[in-house]
Amino acid sequence: MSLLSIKGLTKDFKALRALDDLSLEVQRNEVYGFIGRNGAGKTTTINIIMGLLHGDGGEIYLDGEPVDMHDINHRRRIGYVPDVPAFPRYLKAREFLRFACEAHEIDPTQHEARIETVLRDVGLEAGDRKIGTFSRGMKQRLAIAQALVHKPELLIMDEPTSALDPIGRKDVLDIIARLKNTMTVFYSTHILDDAQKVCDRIGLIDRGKLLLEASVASIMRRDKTFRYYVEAENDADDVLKKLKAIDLVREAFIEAHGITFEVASQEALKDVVRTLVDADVSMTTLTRKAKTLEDVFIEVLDENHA
Amino acid sequence: MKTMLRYDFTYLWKTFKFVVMGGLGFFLAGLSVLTARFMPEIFRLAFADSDIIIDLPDPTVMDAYEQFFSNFTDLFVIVVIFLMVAFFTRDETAGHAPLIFSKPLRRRNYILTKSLWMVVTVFATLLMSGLVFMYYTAFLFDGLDMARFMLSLFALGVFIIFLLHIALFFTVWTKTYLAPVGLTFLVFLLVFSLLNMLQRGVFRFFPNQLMRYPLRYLQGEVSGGVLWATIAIAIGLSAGLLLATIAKFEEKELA
Repeated sequence: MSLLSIKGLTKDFKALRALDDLSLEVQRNEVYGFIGRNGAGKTTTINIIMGLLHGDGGEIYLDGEPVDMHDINHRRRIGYVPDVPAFPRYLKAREFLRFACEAHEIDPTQHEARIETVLRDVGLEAGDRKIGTFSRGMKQRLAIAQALVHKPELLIMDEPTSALDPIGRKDVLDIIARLKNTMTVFYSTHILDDAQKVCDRIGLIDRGKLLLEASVASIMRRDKTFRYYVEAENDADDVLKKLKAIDLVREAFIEAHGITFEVASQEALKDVVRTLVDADVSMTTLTRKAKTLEDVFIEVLDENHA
Repeated sequence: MKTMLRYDFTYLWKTFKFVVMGGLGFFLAGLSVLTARFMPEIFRLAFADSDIIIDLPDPTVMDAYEQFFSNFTDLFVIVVIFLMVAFFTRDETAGHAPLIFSKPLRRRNYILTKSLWMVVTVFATLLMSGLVFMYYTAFLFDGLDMARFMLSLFALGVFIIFLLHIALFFTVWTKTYLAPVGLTFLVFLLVFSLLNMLQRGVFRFFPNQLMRYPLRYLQGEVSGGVLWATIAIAIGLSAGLLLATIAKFEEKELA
């Protein structure tokens, strides 16, 4: 049975339909990437799960139990990291974590040990500093810490890396990677590279509808394109002209220091390479370009908007 | 409930709200007595170089009462509205609400806690201010009636609590700080002023009368029975506003 199940969720903001019959399934102990452009409906979905917004239709189930906005019990099993976490500036990190412990009714004798553990897990050493002095990255770590302090079964993260610099992003992704297999992570993002790094499965949402739900591995396996990148000692424009002259080449364009081109099959590549060699192109690099999640994302969106 | 009580206490303590309210109460209480006692001297000094002859009667304890209640129904109420609306709306305006309400905390308790701290803070401040006032008044004037003054002080407290429950009710209909402040002032300055003109029939028991009844009770113009009845109605309406606030907040979208 899925840990989180959403069936036919609908939400309207006046004339705008934010969620349109959205259904998805999150399996236990997986990292589920909830992917979509800004405004696709990711945050709205999460806000409804967390009881911060009303859904206009549909149901949400946690471990088979229906989730109701007024029922606080399901929140005991969920940890939540908002997209831009805002904390009371006058509190110290440790004080906010103590508040989180109390809110989750954790035995007071365990508070300090739990706080130490989560601070260590997220790599936040400034537990005794006022949150008002924290950088954005430190606030994000604290947001993760407060979401983990009660050892939730489901961790919901709403774009946790979108506002961070590359180092902060990497740190957050490392934390998610460490959590893998210890709990279920529902991770919303529009940064496809991040999703590809840490997610087991993804759900692709656009205009409030789920367009695709599949494992990252199966998406990558479905890659039937033969796209290659070539670099040569010759002038890139000259090589591009020669590639475009070959019938077997479907598409070619200059990228970085070389040319990316696509052919119909592996066999066709051999003929293309032979033709280039015959045309005095001295290749220094030839690599296959695997399809990225970004390519899939664009393909699926194109298909649905066609 | 305990969690929210501690959370709100920390806010009131660490952002110096207790200190500001306590300090203001202390200042106004002391100022009221001194102003009443030395007003004739102040006038005489102010006009010492002119030909105007100032001949004011000797101040009495009634002047002290008048100064006290006039300061508290004007300046104190205004400051308290600003401070308490900030207390009510802060979690939403500062963006803390998603982190708070994603935890297993009841929205009902959240509002009850705000109401409770508001009552405690207002009454504690008034009590302390009343003690300061009585201490100086006992030194500087004759005829202080402590029992009647304490009942008047309680009536003033009930009036402020009623007004703050109106403010609390407005906060759940909006997502900003200024809207509930503005609406509360509209009620306080306009609606209450219009109602104050009506002194007959049931209007005698409307909570707006508690702006003036504490002093009028001390002056012997309002009976204890009318005062108590008005207090009871104000408490009842405050409770009704609190229930309406909770009902609205239970359904409020917080993102």
